[in-house]
Amino acid sequence: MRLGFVVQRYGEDIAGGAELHCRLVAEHLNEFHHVEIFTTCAKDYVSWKNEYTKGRQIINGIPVHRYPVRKTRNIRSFENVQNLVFHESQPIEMEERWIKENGPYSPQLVKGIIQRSDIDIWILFSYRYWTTVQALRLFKKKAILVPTAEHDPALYLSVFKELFKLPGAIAYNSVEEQELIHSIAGNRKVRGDVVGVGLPDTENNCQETRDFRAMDPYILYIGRIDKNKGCDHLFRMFLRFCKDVRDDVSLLIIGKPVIPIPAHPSVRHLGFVSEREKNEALRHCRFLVMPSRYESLSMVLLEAWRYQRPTLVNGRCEVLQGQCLRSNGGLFYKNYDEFAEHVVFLLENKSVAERIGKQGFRYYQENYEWRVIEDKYESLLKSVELNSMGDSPSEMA
Amino acid sequence: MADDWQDIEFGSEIDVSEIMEIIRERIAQKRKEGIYTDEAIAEITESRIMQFAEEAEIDSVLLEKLRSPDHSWNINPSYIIATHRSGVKAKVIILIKKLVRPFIRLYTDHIVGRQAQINQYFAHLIHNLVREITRHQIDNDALKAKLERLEREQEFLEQRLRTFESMTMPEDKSTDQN
Repeated sequence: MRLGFVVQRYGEDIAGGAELHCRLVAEHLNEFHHVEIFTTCAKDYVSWKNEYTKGRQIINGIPVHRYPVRKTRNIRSFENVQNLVFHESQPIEMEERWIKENGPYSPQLVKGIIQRSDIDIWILFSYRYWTTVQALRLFKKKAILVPTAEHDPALYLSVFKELFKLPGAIAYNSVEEQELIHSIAGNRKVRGDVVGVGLPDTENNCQETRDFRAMDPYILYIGRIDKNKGCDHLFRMFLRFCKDVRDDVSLLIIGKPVIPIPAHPSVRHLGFVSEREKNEALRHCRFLVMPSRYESLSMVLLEAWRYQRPTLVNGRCEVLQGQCLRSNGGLFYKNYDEFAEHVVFLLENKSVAERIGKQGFRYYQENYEWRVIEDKYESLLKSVELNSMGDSPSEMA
Repeated sequence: MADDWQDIEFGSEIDVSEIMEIIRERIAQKRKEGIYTDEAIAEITESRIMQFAEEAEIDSVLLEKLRSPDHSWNINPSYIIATHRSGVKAKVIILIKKLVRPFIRLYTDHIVGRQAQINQYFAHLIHNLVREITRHQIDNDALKAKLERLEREQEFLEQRLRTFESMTMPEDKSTDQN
């Protein structure tokens, strides 16, 4: 089959969750199908400024077609529209305007995909972007939508209710995401499956790494160091824990800082590290902590389980909580008291913590190994192929 | 704490919800004794504020915004210029509105800005009041519990004293004579 992926940004240097998810799925499906990527020249998801050169290029054996973004995001205008549509019921035109202001607004990309009648099935990433909405309206039953949705006011806009009923199939990231979208859009009739994504292959080079064993005991956080990821809350809780409970444990942080990291002897920031070093840090940590409240699927949680490490997550995120309960591979907290008690439990009950990590590993193997993900995509592709036979893109301008 | 868990047997499959349930019970026990952290008080305050807002039937999205640390819920002098009309007419109307806007804002910005500050101040004040009331109620409950415990202890000690007294006091001879 010829598969076309539509995604807001694409590139090996883009670390965003949905974009990496898209690239990994595309690269794996490329082993069985002919895959092409349709994306923008943008690198920055806030401004959508054109940074990549437009045109065709090959990334890891896959043709990537880049189209320029016509209008960078006007933050003031975007926030004004967002304040209106998120706070009160607005006419559909205003919601459409929010989608356009949210971007990336690239009419050339839409023109480009319309011309590609040879593509059998379209796989569209992230429901909230202008490119996805346009492609979904064009290809409807010929498309598989990967929503990557989380609790977010945008999801409740009435315009999306209808959009979730359009695709031939939906590849959800988690049971919670599926239930959330079903409850909002009432789209149970649309074929859907909880698929998620596998992990990048581990690198086995001989590159030297820090001696993480010597840093024991440490708790690990991997990801963007941002308020949106709950890092400010994590820092507050951890510093309080050091002051009130015990200070012989470190918090090791890997990732790009967006907010300041507290200067404290127990908080160690390693910055952006190599894949191998990250894996070494995971292998030797006591557990991985994930304080984010909004996740549709946490890949870093899967990475911890791949290394048989237990996890401690923010229980206010339904997806993370659900993953921990289904896997029995981690604990979750909802306030500081629970955080402190769980940290003490995981630190002081090493053998139980090890067993929890092993349970997480089993869950990872059963649900997130690439063969499982590939089989699920194959099944969705077959069902979409059967249902869309004879269909042609409608309303093509 | 490690010792506390030694007595608990885990089967071949560890049920994490079981562990968390035990931990929550321990926390609840501590709270019964009036041991609350600032975080716990903040959490109770939040749930109370939520409850008040739900009683007032405020829009849930606005409620979420009201609880967020930024002040995006507040009134703002900037607004979007739009019209329900379409075509050339719409463009002309939007242009006129854009031309008029700076003059209107000359008079309204100051008032809206001031009102926004008052809103922010009241929101801050009310939030802190709810937190302080919560803290006092918790202190009050803890003191009540402590008082009850002291009363029980006092009663017990008095009873004990009476027993000792009855044991050590010499028998009243006059009653024997009678």
